[in-house]
Amino acid sequence: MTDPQDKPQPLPELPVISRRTAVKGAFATLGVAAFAGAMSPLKELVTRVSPAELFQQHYQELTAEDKERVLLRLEQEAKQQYGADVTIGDDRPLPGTKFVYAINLSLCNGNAKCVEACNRENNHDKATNESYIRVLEMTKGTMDMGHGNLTYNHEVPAEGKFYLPVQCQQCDNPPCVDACPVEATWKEEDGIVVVDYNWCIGCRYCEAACPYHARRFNWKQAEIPADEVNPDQSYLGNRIRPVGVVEKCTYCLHRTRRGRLPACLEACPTGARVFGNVLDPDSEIRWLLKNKRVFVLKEELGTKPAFFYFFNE
Amino acid sequence: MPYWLDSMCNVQLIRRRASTNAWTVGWLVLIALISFYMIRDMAGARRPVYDLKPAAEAIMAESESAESAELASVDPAPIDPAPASTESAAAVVAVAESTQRTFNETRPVAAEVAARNPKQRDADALKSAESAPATVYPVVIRRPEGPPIIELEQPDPLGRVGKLTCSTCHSVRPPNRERRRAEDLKEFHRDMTFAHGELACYACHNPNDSDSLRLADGQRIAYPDVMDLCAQCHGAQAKDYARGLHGGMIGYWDLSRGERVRNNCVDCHDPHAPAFPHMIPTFKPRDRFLHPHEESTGHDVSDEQED
Repeated sequence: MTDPQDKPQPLPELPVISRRTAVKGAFATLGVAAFAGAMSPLKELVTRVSPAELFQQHYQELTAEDKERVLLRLEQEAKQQYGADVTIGDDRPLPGTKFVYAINLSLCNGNAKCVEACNRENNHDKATNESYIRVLEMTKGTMDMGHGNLTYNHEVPAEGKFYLPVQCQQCDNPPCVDACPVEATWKEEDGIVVVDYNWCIGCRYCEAACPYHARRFNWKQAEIPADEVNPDQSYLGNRIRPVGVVEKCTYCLHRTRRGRLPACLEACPTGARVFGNVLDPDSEIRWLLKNKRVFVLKEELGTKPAFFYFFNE
Repeated sequence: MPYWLDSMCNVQLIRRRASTNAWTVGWLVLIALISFYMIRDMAGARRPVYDLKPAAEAIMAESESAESAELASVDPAPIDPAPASTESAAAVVAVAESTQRTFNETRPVAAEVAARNPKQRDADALKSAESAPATVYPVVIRRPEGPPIIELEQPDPLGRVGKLTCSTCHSVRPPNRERRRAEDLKEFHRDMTFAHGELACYACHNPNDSDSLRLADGQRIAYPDVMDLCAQCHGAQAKDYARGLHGGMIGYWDLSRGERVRNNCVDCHDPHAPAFPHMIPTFKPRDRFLHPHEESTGHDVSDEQED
């Protein structure tokens, strides 16, 4: 006879799932997974960006107390990440100043000391030797920057060549400012085009819009040994930039807005660089613009640079 | 044509099909909104505008007045203060600065130089008297130290120690003006490199007082005032220098906040071979566009390949 043990156990009753429900469930799962995947950068954001930074307002909308808090936070971050004691100031334009730069191309011999000084002064990445200045070696008699040589590595000045240092021209009609979709970059009263590195979204439109190739993108966090960090910093100037934002030459506003000369000028061994306040009628730069034959780069673009070049007559 | 575009374009269709009117209205509202924002942006309401007008007006007014002033007084006084004159140099030079530069010799200390140079002290007094009310910091021109001095490393055969100046030897040897170049000499100074035009030694060195220099008219001039000597021939450079357009400097562009220190001629130019030396650029940015090996087709390096 049949043993009770042999009696087939009734199969557990599974809920009846229609094909439709299964498909719906599968797609819902997929959807949730896709959503989670799409949102996953937020996880990184949470670890990388503090809430204070995430909710920080645009620089121009910060109150005095806000700024104090922000600068303190940035100083602490620099201490944390680089082990350097830095002071970050909030340097505003001096009333009655309009900065203009000029380079005497007859004197410039392409030794690139300005490039090095810029790297050190502005807390650039030491691994890539980043700098706001590029020196082009150009054949005499030509003015085509597309054919300028950036990689020359020989004794300078070479025969038949001249050297054209190019950095931000602080245009009075800056295309980079127009290109920014979030107004993270703007022109200030003393003519300096600045970037709020904490407002920049890193779209790099400005980099593409600049006809002088003057803007740089922070592909990675700058590597700087603690003793090489320049501790004299400014919010809109040379503070260590976060990764993924655009940076640019600010005429060393952390120096020039405190009355000092830019670092590239002080480093120039040939004395080719002239800097000053063009609104001061007695300034060297004013005399230069009135009496020397100066030219600007790519004048036809209508960018109105505040950066001039001249030759000895 | 898609139905929604059709519905937007065909008025009859819109009339007939009330359901499509919602689409049309939506589109029109969107277009109106976009054009509103575009017009507002173009009108410059939200763009940060850098207002150059006051500055431009100031410059225009200033240059007009300057031009009229120039027309009014054409000749009587030179517009540039002559950079070589000692008066203007005294006005510009404020403090003696000991420099790192040597004429292949060791140097006395700065205090010694200042003590030996009464003109400088006068200049100091002048400058401080001027700058008292406006608190304008000076533009300091670094000055070379006095005449070259060699410190003896060990006592000479007669057991004497101390310092040798040019006059130690030259005061007992009559100057021989026939010897024009280093290679003409029979002893001493023969290893000197000289590449400064066709100048002879005594064009600049004073044959009558070997611890000083001489101007072209034979006037004695002290070593620290060497810039006046250079300016005799290099007028264009001296003029640019007086305008602040020649020579390196450090410090402050804004003299109400700090002083500016400027190099003098012989800081950068060896008086015996004044052409600016060739240099090797030691610092090169290393980004990917600048590596010819990684991107040989990049336009940045095409020039190098062509050459």
